[in-house]
Amino acid sequence: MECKTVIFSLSDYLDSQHGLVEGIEKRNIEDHLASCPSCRHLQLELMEIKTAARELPLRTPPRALWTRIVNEIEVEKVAVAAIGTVEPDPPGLWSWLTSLRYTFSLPQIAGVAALAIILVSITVINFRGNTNEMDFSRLQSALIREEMTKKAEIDRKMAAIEERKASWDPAFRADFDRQLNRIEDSIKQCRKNLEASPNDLNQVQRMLDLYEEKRQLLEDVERLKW
Amino acid sequence: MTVKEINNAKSDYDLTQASANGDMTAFELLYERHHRRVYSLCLRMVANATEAEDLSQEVFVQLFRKVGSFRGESAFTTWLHRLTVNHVLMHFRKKRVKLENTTEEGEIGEMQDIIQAVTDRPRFIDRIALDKAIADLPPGYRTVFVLHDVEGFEHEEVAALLGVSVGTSKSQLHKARLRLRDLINKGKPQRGS
Ligand SMILES: [Zn+2]
Repeated sequence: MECKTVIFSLSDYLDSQHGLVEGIEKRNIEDHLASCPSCRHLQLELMEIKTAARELPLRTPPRALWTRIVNEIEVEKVAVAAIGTVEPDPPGLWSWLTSLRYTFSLPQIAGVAALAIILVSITVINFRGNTNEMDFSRLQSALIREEMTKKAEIDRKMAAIEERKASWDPAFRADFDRQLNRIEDSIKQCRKNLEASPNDLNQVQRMLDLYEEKRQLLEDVERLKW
Repeated sequence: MTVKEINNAKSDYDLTQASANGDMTAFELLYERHHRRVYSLCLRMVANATEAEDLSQEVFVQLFRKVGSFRGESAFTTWLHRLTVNHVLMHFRKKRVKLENTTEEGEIGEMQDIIQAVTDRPRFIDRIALDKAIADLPPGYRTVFVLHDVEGFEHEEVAALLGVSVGTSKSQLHKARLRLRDLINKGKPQRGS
């Protein structure tokens, strides 16, 4: 048997407790290994790699990972609670995009976490039925700041997307426009409601959700790199 | 019994049920028990700490969502393991990482190198060196090696997970091991220098 043939079958041979290499072939390989120091060395090295691979130490992630996980779960809980007021997503592009969803970069996590804190505090205040004027105005200004940050980011993304939009597949473009219009309409409606009753915290929360939804849509599309 | 002992006495299954009911303490305990395995698996598959952290985070968030569907038929570790592998592979698909890495590199040239390199074999493969070498593998080789040799999947499972043939899985593994051996030997200090 030639070295080349033996080398080619060595992994199968090493894994042969699973019956990959049997009978005559196995004997031939063993005969060759007994007489060829090079192949025997190789066999031993591959064996060591295989053995060491099963004994690799576990690695420990940074402590902050747990905090990040908890934050995201909290965001989801709030989002799920708010979903009651949102019409179901049409299938197609949207469901595909949402399947792309759960990859956040660090700045995004920071943003989402900040939003979560605000939303959680809204929920808490709502729950307590605390209608103190001071709380409202503090919260309102926090929300305005948050809204402005989000708007700036959205505008930036939108400008970049507009440039590329012309080259998109028409069906995709139509789908994107439809999604965007749906969010825009909801934002308009929400703004009207807010004008009528500026202290309606549910509307404020909905507004933030809509901005986040829009930001997410743009970001998903951005990620497509078309 | 201390709190810790009570916690340790709870099975993974108990903890999954409690987590499914929104008990974050139970979920944290599950995290404590399993996060190093999840992270290590992600880290070895993607060879990038930041990405591995992001993926581990996603796996645990997904776990929280799905934990109620764990019925306890298999070990929780096996279940979580699969969830993690699938998540990382999904991540590869999104990033369009080419997993089937049946490369064009000349088999013969490789053989010559192999035969020449076997002289004067170092006795011991240091695990840190192996870990580092795994990170340096091309993604296709790395995935098959991590799944089969590190995580203990059978070729049939690896093939099914990656959507390749068993033969491809085997040949990728063999090439991965040969490449690792090269990388480890190259990483060793040269004699006489
Ligand atoms: Zn030989």
